[in-house]
Amino acid sequence: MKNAVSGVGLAPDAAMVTFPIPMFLPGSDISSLKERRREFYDGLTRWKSEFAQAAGSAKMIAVEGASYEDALVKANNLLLTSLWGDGLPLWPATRERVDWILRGSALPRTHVLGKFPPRGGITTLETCAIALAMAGGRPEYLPVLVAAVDACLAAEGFDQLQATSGGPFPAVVVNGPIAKQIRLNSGFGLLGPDPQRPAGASIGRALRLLQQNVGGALPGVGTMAIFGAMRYTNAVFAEDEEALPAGWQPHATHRHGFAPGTNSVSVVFASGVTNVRRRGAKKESPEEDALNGMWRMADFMRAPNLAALAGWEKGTPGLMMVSPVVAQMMAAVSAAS
Amino acid sequence: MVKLEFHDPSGVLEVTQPHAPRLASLAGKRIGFVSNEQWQAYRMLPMLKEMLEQDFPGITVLPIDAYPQGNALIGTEETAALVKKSRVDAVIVGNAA
Repeated sequence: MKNAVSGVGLAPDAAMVTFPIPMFLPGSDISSLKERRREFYDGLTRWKSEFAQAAGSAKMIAVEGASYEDALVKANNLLLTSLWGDGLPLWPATRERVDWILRGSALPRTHVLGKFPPRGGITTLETCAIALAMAGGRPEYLPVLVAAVDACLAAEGFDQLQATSGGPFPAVVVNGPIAKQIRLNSGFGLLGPDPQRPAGASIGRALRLLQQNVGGALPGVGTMAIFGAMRYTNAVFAEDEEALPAGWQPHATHRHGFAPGTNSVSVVFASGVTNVRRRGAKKESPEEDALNGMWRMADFMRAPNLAALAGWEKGTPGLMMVSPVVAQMMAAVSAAS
Repeated sequence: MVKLEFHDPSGVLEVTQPHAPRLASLAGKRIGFVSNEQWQAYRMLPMLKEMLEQDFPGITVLPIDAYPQGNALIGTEETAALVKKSRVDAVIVGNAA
């Protein structure tokens, strides 16, 4: 609720009377509500906002330790207790590290991308750089993170993704030469982890930190995702454009009309990953194999696994990824028919 | 001692409008409910309506379904316009996950 009010430009401390969910389970006794009636009445008559915030860019925080190691531990503890972490070790976003990350973009650090829903935190280039610094990122990752944030803020239903009980997360598909330039995961093991192509992990983790810290998607408070869906790094990867069969267009071209070779990101909502496997090649003709494989995929995709997200009650959104071997087979069958 | 200084990662909030002024009293006032229609609000708001009507003379509490209900509808401009049109002095929002 605090997110909702701050998201529309009000101070984030609305008059609220809160109750635990078990109090409302079917058949339960809610008569204790009467004992708290005064809180409702005071909310309408006496409540005052106590929110105060200094103007300007992100404030600095300091910790002291007997050694660098000690200070790093204290910084991580502070980030966790302030509810700004994800449970894994973080790089504190020092001035030096954030300034280094900002070298990855020509935009000014104050450049505003928008308000991150539902909390409405103002998201600037610096805000992105801070998250990327914390996530262990590098300057060359910044343009992809900024494009992903831009796409998320523009995506219809992203405010609901942030708050729903269903647990969806953004999946970011990157097209264009930047993928190789920054060693973005692609091809084998593209959903990670991959030490040879590590960029997606940091970019996705930074996006998740922004969702939580700036957008207010804190588990059980802002995001009501019941199970959470292992969203530490979201899913950020590049399409393996070189492996596309002859005549097949990259995703960004086919779906969004970008010229091949253009650097771009596409954001879709996902709620998990499933390998749809089928091996009928020994018993079937290539045509039957391809057709039955597509039936298997379609059968899975009709499952409404984002049912808690309005607009997706009748089937799942997301991505159908096809391995190069299967894609080449399908292209060969199509060419022969 | 080693000092480590780092950025607060939570971004800046921009307050563009004040919260509505509070009422001096609820007696004689007109109150509405906006509900996201989860079971908590479904069970609780009728009880709250009853309590308000008992505790404050002259109060008018609109029916629970006076405005559109449900997550998809309560945040729309159309609902906001209906709330304005109904000339209520205050609104209580029932919101649950």
